Amino acid sequence: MNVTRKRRRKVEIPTASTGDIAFLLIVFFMATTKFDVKEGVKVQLTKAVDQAQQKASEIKLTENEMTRIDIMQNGQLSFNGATPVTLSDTDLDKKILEKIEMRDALNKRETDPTLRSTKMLFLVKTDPEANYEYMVRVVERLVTHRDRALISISTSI
Amino acid sequence: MAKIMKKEAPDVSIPTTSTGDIAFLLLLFFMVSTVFVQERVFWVQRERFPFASENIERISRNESATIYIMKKGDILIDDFPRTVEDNSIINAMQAKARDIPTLQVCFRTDRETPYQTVRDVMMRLQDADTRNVVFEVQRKL
Repeated sequence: MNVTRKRRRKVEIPTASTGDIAFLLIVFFMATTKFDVKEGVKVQLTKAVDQAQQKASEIKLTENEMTRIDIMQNGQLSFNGATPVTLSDTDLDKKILEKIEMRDALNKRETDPTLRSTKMLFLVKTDPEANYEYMVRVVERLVTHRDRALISISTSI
Repeated sequence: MAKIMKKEAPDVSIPTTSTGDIAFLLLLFFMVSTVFVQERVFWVQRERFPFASENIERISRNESATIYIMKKGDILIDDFPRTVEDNSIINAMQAKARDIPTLQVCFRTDRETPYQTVRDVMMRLQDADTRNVVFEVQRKL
């Protein structure tokens, strides 16, 4: 009897698409990964001084040299002890610029050449109960004028 | 008549069998080399940062220490809980500053945190002489 041998079928798993699948996975992870970027407003705090040292080196500054910005508990701002008011970012900018320009005008009239480059010092004093965001808002606006003004964040109690 | 043999065109194909292996190797490499930051106690989400529209600078992760301050006043420095009552903040910051001379201290603080808590931490930073601070913000659209 003539027995025909069964021909073995070639069985193969198709792997042509494996590369596509893997690359699609990579692209998916690349697109969905969220990197933790650190960005914010940079400031330098003043040096720590002990009270005795502070008393010895105390100098009185007038409104021509320093502007004190008080941040109230509700976010209102007071410039040099004036009545606190609610200021928008634009108004705050205007107020800061006004003080800087006043200092610049005084510098121009200054007879002593060493004092002609005096920068306006802004002292930011925040109410302990005020929200942290109120302080950041003022500091961020002051940083805009960093080249023309000095910023000091008060940490004294 | 001479028999002209037709030249058989060679079968040209780029082998793509290994593409899958290469891609999976790439995938594995990124999975193994990715370092996830695991926050242990709490986490101030970016959505809770104060807003800012300008003057936002990028800070290098390798040159920074992170201070988390929650609304209720809990403080965490680089994953470790600290308090302002003892010298733990000063010691931690001084140790960090020894390793990184150009240290930037990033405040990841809830925008509604009372300023008092932030002030107390800033005073400790002044004592530790690590005075370059960054107030992390979210961009105002």
